[in-house]
Amino acid sequence: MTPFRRGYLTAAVIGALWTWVIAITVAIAMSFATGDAFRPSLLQALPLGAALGAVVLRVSQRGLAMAAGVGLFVVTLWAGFGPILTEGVGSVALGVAALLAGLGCGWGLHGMFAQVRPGPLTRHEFEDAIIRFLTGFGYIFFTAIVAIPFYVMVMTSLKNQQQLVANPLDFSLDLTQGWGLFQSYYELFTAFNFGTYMVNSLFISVMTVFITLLFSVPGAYAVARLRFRGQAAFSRSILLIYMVPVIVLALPIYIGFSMTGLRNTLFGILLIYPVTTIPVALYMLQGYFRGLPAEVEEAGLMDGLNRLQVIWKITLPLALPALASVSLYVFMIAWNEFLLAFMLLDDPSRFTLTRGIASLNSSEIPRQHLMAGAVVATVPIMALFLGLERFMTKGLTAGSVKG
Amino acid sequence: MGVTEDTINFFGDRPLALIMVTVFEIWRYFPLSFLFILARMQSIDTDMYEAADMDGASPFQKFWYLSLPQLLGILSVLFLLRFIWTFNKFDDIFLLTGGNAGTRTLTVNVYEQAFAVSNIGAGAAVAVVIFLCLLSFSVFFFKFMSQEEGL
Repeated sequence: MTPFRRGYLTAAVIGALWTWVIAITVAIAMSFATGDAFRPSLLQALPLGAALGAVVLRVSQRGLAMAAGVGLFVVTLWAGFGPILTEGVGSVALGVAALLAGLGCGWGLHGMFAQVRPGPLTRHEFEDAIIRFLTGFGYIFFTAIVAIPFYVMVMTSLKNQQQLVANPLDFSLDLTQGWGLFQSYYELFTAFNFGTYMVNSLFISVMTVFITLLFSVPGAYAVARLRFRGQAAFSRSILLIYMVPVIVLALPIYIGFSMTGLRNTLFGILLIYPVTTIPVALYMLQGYFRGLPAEVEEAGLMDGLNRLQVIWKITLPLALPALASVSLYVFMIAWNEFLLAFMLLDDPSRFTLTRGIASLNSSEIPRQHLMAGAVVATVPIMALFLGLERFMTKGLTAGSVKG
Repeated sequence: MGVTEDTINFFGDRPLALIMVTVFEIWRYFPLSFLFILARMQSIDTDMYEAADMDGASPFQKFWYLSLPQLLGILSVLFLLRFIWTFNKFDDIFLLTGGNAGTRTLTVNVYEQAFAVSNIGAGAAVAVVIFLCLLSFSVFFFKFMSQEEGL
């Protein structure tokens, strides 16, 4: 590795790679924002980026580095080559692209070369630069793969049929339509009964949360605290049930529900959703209960409370964060459940949201309705998660990780 | 973006559909593994890193010799769990391809046999096969778990 650890060589290689990343990012972002054709040119990005890297290495101020990047890309893009190729794009958009690419490259590279200087590098300095490059790449990459699908979904839902047929890959927003943008949402709630589906989904999810907690709190407590024969086997079988795929259960459920007339009823769905959520809740809760100090409960028992009172007055208040996260998680599972709703519900007035969206997925119904439906189903979950994210991330891994 | 001029049928052509479904599964479930690995990483003792800094370990050495061995338990558990869960995945594949173009997994086959062909018996038979596979996986899983005690 030693011959590679030279300041200029490192700077050039990282500069080329980073310019590559930025060129792709800017090209995708610009074509999403404007709907015009932007194309990253990887071959031309490499030499330009290498040169830029070497220049930035000599520059000590961040502002100067960014100016160098902007200057280089404005000149090259204006001359018609450079890291981003365009076809029939206005000069304003071109200027914005050059500006973004230049700022991104200059700013990023300057940050990466904090410990790099011309001449031989120590292992520390070399690896520090690489790690900074990987960090920047990680930020961009993960943001992109999470944000792009949502962006496409929202933008497609705001289009009308002509625009979609004209250019399905044009994701720019036509603001001149005003409220007409939300046309497909309006139709969704009037013509396709999405209001009913939403109420159904909400009702089922909330009820599932209550039923699940009702059963899983005592169950989890028993597994975590009480000594009884077969405790270990019971504890393991929870995980085993957790792993049984719903499709295996779906057939017997379908046959049984058909015979008893529970198919096509919300009551039947409410009977079966907790079956899939209780093992998850049990598993998460018992992990948390194990982590609570047993001494407090023993003190409660000494003071004359019985077991149920101990659970109600001592364990549950202590486990409140876990309860919150388990409820959220169960709510999410019930809200997103598709397979059972798909098999058991045929009557459109009893559809849940997921089932309703699946019924939109046919060739007769235009795509923007499908996307609007997906947005309607996703937004409540996103809002819940973002609002209560602290509970979620802790609860998901609670009890599963030992230090 | 100038990669190709032809239209690409992502979910209809034979090798591509399987690849796309796999990529979709990776995309959909990487955050979960991410969370678990992050949680485990945050519980690693920082003293070790300080000691490594004193001894002059470089960043990559610290990752390779300190973080990775600590993460091995949770990584292997995640590997097994995700393998089992993805093996049992139905709705993603069903909605993406409907089991066409070489993506008919066992779970999709249950649905196809039972509802598309209306042969509930055959569907149940496939379900039993899935269950047996799952049982063998879980025997492996629990054997492994009792050594690791990671999850």
